[in-house]
Amino acid sequence: MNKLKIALIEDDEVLSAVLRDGLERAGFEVAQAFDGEEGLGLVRSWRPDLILLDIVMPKMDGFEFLDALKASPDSNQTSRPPVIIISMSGKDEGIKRALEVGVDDYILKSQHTVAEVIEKVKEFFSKERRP
Amino acid sequence: MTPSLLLLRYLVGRSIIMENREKMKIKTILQLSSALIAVTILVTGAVFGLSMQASDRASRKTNLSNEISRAVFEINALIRDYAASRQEYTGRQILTALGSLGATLRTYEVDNSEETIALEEIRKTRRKMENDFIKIAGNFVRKIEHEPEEQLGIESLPDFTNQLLIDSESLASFATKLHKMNQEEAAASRLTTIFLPLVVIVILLTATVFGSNVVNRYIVTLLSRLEEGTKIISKGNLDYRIMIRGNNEFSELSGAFNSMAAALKESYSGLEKKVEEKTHELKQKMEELDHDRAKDEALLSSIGEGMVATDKEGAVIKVSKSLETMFGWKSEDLLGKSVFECIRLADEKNDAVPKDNNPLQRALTAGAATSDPDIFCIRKDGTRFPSSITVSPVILGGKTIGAIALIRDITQEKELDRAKSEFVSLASHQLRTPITGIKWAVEYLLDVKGVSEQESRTYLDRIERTTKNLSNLVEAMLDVSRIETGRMAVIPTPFDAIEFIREYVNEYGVIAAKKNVSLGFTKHPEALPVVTDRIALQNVVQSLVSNALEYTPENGRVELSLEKRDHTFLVTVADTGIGIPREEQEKIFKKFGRASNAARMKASGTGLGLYLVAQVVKLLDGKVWFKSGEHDGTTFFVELPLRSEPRAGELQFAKREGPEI
Repeated sequence: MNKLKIALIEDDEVLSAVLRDGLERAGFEVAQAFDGEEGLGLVRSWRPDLILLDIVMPKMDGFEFLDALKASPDSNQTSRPPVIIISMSGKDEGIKRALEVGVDDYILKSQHTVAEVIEKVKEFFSKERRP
Repeated sequence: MTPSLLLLRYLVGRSIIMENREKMKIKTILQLSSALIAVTILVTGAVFGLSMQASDRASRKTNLSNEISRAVFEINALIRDYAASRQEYTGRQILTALGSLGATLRTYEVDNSEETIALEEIRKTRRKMENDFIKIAGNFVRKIEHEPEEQLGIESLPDFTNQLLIDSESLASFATKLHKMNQEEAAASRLTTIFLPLVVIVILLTATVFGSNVVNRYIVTLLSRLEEGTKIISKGNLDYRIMIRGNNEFSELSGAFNSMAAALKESYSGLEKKVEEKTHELKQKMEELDHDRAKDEALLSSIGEGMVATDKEGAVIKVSKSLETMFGWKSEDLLGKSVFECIRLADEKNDAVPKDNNPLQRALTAGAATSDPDIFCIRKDGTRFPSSITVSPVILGGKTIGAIALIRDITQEKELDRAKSEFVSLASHQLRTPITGIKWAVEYLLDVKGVSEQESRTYLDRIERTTKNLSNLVEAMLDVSRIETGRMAVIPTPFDAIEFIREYVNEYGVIAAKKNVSLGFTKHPEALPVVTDRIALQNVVQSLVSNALEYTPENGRVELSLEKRDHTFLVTVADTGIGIPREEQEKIFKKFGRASNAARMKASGTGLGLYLVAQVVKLLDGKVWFKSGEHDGTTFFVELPLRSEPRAGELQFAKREGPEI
């Protein structure tokens, strides 16, 4: 069975590393990008099944990435891949904006353990799979 | 007579009155004049009276002598008649005539001895005649009475009548003589009775006229002088003095006028002085007022907040200069207009604030101060700015007569606020990230089973690094807070900058070598004595060198140099590192303004290093800037005064830990 591909777009080295390790141990295939620009390239070329997206990043932040992705003509898929936002700040505007853009979930890194985050990812896929 | 008159005139006129004029009161002169006139009249009257009397007398005497003459002639005629007719009747007539002549003679007044003699002769003669006649006539009468039919034949009668005739002849001659004498007298007296009084009158009148003329002239002269003088004074020339000497009424009057003029002058000058003083005072007060007003205007102009004063309907009465600038309106555009129309307010969503909610309206209605700390004002050109408005009603006598609104443009405050909250959210993000990193790493180690030792090692390294980063970040944040509260002290000490850098380079050359980056210090003068805060400078140089080393890959070079300028010295740190991309250069000195390539290169930066460098340099009164291009290396320049001013503060710069490679 093909592993599910997760694009991990997060600028912090340590956070990214721990998540990656955790997800890989959970059986996912993970590719890392450390800023929005990199992430864009990654998503377009790699076509992940899920994007884990940080917001605060240099060069291109999470929202800019989403806008770019939406406008991307490159997508073969009718819709873009699902996105779960992993952010440090739980500010209302951020959440509101994310909902407006239409993401699939919003996780606060600071409030969850690594295991919880990975659990959430697993949950997401199981939900998705259910018809 | 005329020259003597003239002389008289002269004497009278000149000497008495004119020479004594100043000594004499007008009153006296007038009295004298009146007296003189009275005397003249009296004398004239007397003289006339006397002459009247004299002429009366003369005429009377003339009449008498006429009468006497007539009587004598009548007697003469009668006697002749008698002599011829011897009529009894005529005789009786003769007697009567003699009798009346006698009576007449008795009334005659004699004036001189000649007259007396003549009169006496006449009397004598008459008496003789009378006696004679009576004697004869008596006889005759008796005879007639006794013998009526007998006619008297008086042989003696012709003798008697002849005698009578002779007597009457002499009587006549005496009478004529008397008469002539009388006439002479009358003529003489006529001369005196008419001429003399006339002369006297003329003299007196002339004297009087002349005298009063002189007096008049004198009075008129003085009067006109007085008049002239008073005219001049009344026209305003208060310095003019009427010169009339003496102690007469005119001199007194002129004296009074002079004193009055003097008094007036004094009071005028006194008044003038007072007026001058008051004018001066007034001018001063006006100047003060102007000054105050100018001060008020200056005050008003200087207040940073916009001020609008309105009446109770909201019509604009006054605006401050700052309000004009704030809104782009000119004072004249606003005066008198409704404040609600020109000073428009809007909320965040740019909806206009309804009048009821308008703080100015609320203040006017309620008569109480109102405020709206966060409301938008719309300028003349339609742009808006955030403001804080405070309105105070103006209350006079218990009634609200207007309001004063103070509008503060809080754009900067809001900006600051926004920057602060942005910083807070950024800072909290920056703190949470390593904390979460550590947490997750630890969780991973704890939760995951079957972690190899190598993986463990890796994770523990990560934890250690992150902990250090977190610690650095916290320290950097505290530094920021310390510097921002302005409690840092600057303690300049003298030292040689060359030596200082050289020491530094030696110390960190080792670290640089470890990273395979060369650290050099070649371009510098022999010695460069400076007076500045040594530790602050050390922190700055350390930060820059540390950055340079961090962002320069292996085989790169970091070069320090020192240059002495007029009043400053320049420290240069040049590297051959990754450079700062153009688009990220403007935020490099800002908090967390880390370039993205730097973040990629070394995740452990605080993002506050250069911000702190900039702040410290500012405290030292210096400047910092850089030149860089992506992949082209970076050169940082720090220019500091050769002599820094000391600055008081509770905190001192502390040596920071060296760069960690």
